[in-house]
Amino acid sequence: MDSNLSTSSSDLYRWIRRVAIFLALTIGVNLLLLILVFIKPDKLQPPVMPNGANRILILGASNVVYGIDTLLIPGSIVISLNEPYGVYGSLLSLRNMAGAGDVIICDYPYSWMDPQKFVPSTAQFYHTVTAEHYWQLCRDYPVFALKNFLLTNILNEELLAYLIKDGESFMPDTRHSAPKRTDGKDPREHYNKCSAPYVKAKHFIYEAGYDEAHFLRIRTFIEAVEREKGVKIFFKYPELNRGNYEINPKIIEAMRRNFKMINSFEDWPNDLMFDQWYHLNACGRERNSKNITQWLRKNGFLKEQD
Amino acid sequence: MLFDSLDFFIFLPIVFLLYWFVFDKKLIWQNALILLASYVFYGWWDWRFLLLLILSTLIDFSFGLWIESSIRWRKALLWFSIVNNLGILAVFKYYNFFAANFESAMSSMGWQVHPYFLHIILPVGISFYTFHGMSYVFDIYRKVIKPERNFINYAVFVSFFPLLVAGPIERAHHLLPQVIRPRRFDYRQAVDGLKLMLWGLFKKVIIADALAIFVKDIFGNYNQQSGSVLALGAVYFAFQIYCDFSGYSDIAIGTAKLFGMELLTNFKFPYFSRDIAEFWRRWHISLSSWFRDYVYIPLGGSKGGKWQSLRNIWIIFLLSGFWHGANWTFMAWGAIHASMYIPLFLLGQNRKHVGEVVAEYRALPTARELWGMLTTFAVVCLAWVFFRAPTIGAAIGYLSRMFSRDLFSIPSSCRLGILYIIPLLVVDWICRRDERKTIFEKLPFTMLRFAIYVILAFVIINKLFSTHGQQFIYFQF
Repeated sequence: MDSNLSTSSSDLYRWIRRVAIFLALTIGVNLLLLILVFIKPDKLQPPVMPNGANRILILGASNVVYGIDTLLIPGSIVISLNEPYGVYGSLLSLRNMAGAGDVIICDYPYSWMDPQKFVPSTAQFYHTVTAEHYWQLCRDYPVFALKNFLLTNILNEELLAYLIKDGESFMPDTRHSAPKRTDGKDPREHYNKCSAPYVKAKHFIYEAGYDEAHFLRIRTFIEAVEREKGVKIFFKYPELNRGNYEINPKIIEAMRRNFKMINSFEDWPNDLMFDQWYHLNACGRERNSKNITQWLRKNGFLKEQD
Repeated sequence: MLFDSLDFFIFLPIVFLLYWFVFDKKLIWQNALILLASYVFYGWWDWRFLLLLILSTLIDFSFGLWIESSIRWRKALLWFSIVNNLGILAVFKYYNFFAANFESAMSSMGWQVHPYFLHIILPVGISFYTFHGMSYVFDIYRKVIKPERNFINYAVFVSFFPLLVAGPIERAHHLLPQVIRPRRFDYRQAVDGLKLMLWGLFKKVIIADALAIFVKDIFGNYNQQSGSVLALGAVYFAFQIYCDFSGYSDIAIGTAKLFGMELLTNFKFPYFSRDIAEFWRRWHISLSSWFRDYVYIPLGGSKGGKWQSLRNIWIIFLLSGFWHGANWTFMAWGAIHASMYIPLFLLGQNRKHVGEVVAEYRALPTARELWGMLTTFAVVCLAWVFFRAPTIGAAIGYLSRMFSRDLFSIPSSCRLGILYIIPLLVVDWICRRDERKTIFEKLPFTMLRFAIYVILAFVIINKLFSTHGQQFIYFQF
């Protein structure tokens, strides 16, 4: 080997060594932060879910708080978990609270069908599930866990935000009753006054990313819960206003293929919407709740006298 | 495959290790590996795009050989090659645009025609690799270079993965000799390459992607924004596209260095230009010099009298606009730049700032230089509005609202974007004399530099893997 080649080769090894040190340091900083997060006591606990049997559980995000009136669906319980939980967090909660004979309706906004929302960012996820849940995720979805969890979530800018903000901005939102959110001076009046013009939210439609594997993951999970707990799990197309079919056709079709749907896609008019692209007003809520009641009766999950 | 994707971060080390450790015995093996890697890189989007790339490569390779061996038919062969390349571009990039305009022109005269529209996706980077091929054939015709007789070597020149989809647009006489010359690993070059990649990623992932959110919001709802917010939107887009594209170029140049190759410089701090002529010597240099060498000069350049020169200027600026896409907005963008360039040309001021940077031997610019920079930047921003807007009408609507009474009010929203721009300007200002060095190389201590690079990498990696990135803007061209 001539001296030039030898120099080149030793340079190459030197360069690779330095790059390896560089990467190790970079990853090391991340891991250090992660350790800080782990040793930090959690301020929030996962929400306590109601236990029981033979119930009608309606699971979703804030859309179910605004869009479902439990008084119109006898015996129903609405469980709203907001986006920080992610679909996986929500499904884990579903598994924990499901009791024999329960009829569960998942009413997730389309945005939840985005594979990125399966397990949302680490900082949000930390507070909503326990270490055991992490382990379950790795067991349930090893490939997903490796690619999306380790990389998407551990190497995460929100890790820093979480440490700096002390987790406050990631407060999850669990409600079991009518909306309490304040939106301006008198939100309830606006909410109940169906003639009030709908103010189009800035981002009134959500273009969700599509991945068939995401649906398969959810389907596999809910089928396992159905077998394990003796429950029936259905899905519902969410109550969204215009434009969502055009922008999310693949998602809508994939939901139809993969889940037991209780309704067909519906384009909700603006006069039934409240303050968001996925929030109904009182009139919308009434119509939506009646639709669900009708479906429950038709399928024998509610008796006529209920 | 995107430079800012996990796929690329796995792909690059594999190719690098194979290149220097397994295929390093023979140059042709290394080139074959690069070619294969380039096709994998490109086919990652859609393997069908590869067929067009290979076809285009084969055509230009063959024409290169034919032009060299022919005396009588040289010119005809050159034209045939140009028609082929432009034909590919015309079909895949411009056909629907022409068809739609033909339809509306006919309908405005009362004739209803129903042209056939193609339902095809624009192949990524088509404008870049066809221009590579054309420069090769032109250079052979002009006897600047000899044709390459080894197809693999030629294909590497056209398809070298760092520059394949968004440039810099290379010249055969610059890159081909590097492809056919044995390469040795150069420690300094590889270190420089990584630093450039890091800085490019920072510009793209941290600055451009952050500004993209503001830009999307402002341009998407321009009817509801005040004049000052719209002005801010134009400025943000100017920096978004700069960081996006120059970031891509830095990553491409840096990646090429890892394989022992040097690519052309594409950006030299364009927003410090004191007039529009200087801007065009600093912005997308590989494209503007391509048009200068292969269109402007063959048309006679500035040698054939005032009117001919003016015609040639209009041609290259409009072509530059049209090169970016099949939309009148790009033409308008080119036309604005031409209209700003022509007065300088007529006054003989278009070569006033050649070969030196602003405040070359001073820390700060003079008032005159500052005024020049600000006015040039303002004009560039106005033109960017046309570039970014979906239609000419939307661009005019945007500008009409922008030049309203509240233009000089304090922007009510989207102010945070400025925080991304100021540090970039400071860094660029300090480094303006040497476009290939980053500010951090000027720091005194090795450990300090190393620590800064670690922090930079940390920020990039965390941002990269935790949010939805934006695709590089220039991929669509």
